[in-house]
Amino acid sequence: MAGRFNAHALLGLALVLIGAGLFISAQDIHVSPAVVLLGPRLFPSIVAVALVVLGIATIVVELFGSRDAAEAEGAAQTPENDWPSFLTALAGPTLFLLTVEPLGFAVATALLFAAVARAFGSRRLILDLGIGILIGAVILVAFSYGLGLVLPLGSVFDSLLGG
Amino acid sequence: MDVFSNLAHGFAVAFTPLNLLWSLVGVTLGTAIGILPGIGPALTIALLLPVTYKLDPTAAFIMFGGLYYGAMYGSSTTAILINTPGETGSLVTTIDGNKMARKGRGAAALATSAIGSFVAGLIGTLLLAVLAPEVVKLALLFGPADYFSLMVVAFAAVSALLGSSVLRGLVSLFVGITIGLIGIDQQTGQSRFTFGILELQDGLGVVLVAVALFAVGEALYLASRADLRREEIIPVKGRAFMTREDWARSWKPWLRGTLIGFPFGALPAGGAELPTFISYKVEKSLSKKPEEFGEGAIEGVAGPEAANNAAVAGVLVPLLTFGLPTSSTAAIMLAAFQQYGLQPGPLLFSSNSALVWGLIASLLIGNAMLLVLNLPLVGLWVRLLYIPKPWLYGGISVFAMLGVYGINRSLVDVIALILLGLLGCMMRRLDYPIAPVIVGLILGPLSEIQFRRAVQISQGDLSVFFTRPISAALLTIAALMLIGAVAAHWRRSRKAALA
Repeated sequence: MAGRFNAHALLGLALVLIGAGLFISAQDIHVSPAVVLLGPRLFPSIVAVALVVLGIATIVVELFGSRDAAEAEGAAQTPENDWPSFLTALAGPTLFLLTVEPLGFAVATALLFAAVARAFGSRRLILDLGIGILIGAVILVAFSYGLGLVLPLGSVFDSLLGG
Repeated sequence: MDVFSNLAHGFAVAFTPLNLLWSLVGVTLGTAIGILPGIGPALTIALLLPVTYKLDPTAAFIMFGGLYYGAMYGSSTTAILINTPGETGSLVTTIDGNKMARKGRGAAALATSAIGSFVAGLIGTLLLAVLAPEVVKLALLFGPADYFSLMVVAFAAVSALLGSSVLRGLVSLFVGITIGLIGIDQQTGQSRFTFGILELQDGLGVVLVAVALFAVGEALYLASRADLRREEIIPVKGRAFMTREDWARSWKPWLRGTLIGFPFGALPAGGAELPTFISYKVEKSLSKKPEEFGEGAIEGVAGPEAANNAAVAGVLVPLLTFGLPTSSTAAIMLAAFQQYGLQPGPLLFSSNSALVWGLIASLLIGNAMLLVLNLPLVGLWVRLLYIPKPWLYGGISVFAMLGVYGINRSLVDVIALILLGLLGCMMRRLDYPIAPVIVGLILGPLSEIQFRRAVQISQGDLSVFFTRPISAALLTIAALMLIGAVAAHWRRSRKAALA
């Protein structure tokens, strides 16, 4: 076999599965008898079939593709996979998600900013946290006074202050 | 002639102090984001959408238009100085532009790109003003079946022309369409794929998806690739300046670039990359010194830069006349129109002509502003590049999060942002194009509506798509595009295998 079962083929498999899942769940959409052809099931079903077809095509191309093409692609750029930085960057929005309601927008923003900055090479954690809190606080104030949109101040602080 | 009275009307709208201010804000912001890596006009407009909701639509669109043009100007600066295009439209500029900078001719490269962009923007916008009313007449002949087929052409073109393979383009497109399926079906009120989550009833909005894919996805991708994070900035000596020889060698490429860029921008999947490649090839074959290309030939900068600005004007033609977006930025602008309850198309020209012509006139004004901003002030803009990357991407992440969370305060949105961001990162790593996802997201639901309307009108007769002449012609074009692209790809890989 000239090609290989690699990440691309895995993606193809995922597409097939998603397509199949889409098709099955589309059948659950309630449809009144009068509009069977035109109803809300039609497009999802077509899209689902397309996904399955594309998924199979992707798998086929990867498994049976010519070795030269695959090698050319791989040789063009040898990616240096940087897992630690990636995970640090991912931690940013994740921390935001977990902390924005209990700890407030400013703290969450600080964590987001500092995490992404660190992922991109900054080693000055305290400074980055400080900048993050500043940006978060400015946005908090600007949004509530400027646009009338209230961002969370942190339920933890509410209970501490006898909210 | 009609054009003059339309433009006069437009200038009356555009020349108010407030709208001039918005134009200035737009072009300045656009240049800044064009210069900053990691953020482009599509993402910026997506982020500005929630904030501009309260603005008068004319002002908002004047700002967006200026932003779009400005981004094209700004991104050439990074292409020339640090070999990193701010936008894909400036990819080709890096080839000769960066070489010129390394040889100390950076100022000339910047000048030719700025002036070329101005010339192209001027001619392109005038062409837009002249052609738009004519195209509108054509658009009035379109029925739902024809609109559906037009969107199929867009789908085909997006898949065929963007990205390294048709298959990958199609996959991206259908991923976008799938995401677009989430939400309440407009014609029957049924919830689809919402998994019982209330917040998903309205579907995943364009802002969310665009921000997730472009900002978060890009940040995660770059974080995972240590090799992509190194670069050096070449200092610019003096202001943007060209010698007489530079002028003589530049003006024809400017004009040729404009003529190439405009029609490509108007085509579905027009984006600015293809016309710039074509312009480069054309200039190289017409040049008396083709060996200079790749080493710093000024024509290699002048032509493509004019092409990418003309393409922006071209993109606006189908967007305003048909409501058909031909680039991801245009797709986001379409979402902006929808936000204001406006439907671009022939009706917009008659019901809201002040907005349309005001926008077109302000593009002419903005174009002039950009020339002033970019020629003498280049040194200032380059300072932006010295923002440390960690803070730049930290800031981008914060604004991305704000754009998504700040409006609905929904944690579901944040989860979606993270998941879609991971998707975007994965797509970048596996070399799948992202623009088709946005196009699929926007056009998917629209095409479904047109499809069902068309079949309703024909009372279940599916052949209507093939019997109406416009529709049949469009579907044929779509098929030819896909077949052509696959054939070209196949021929290329056979050549490679035989070599």
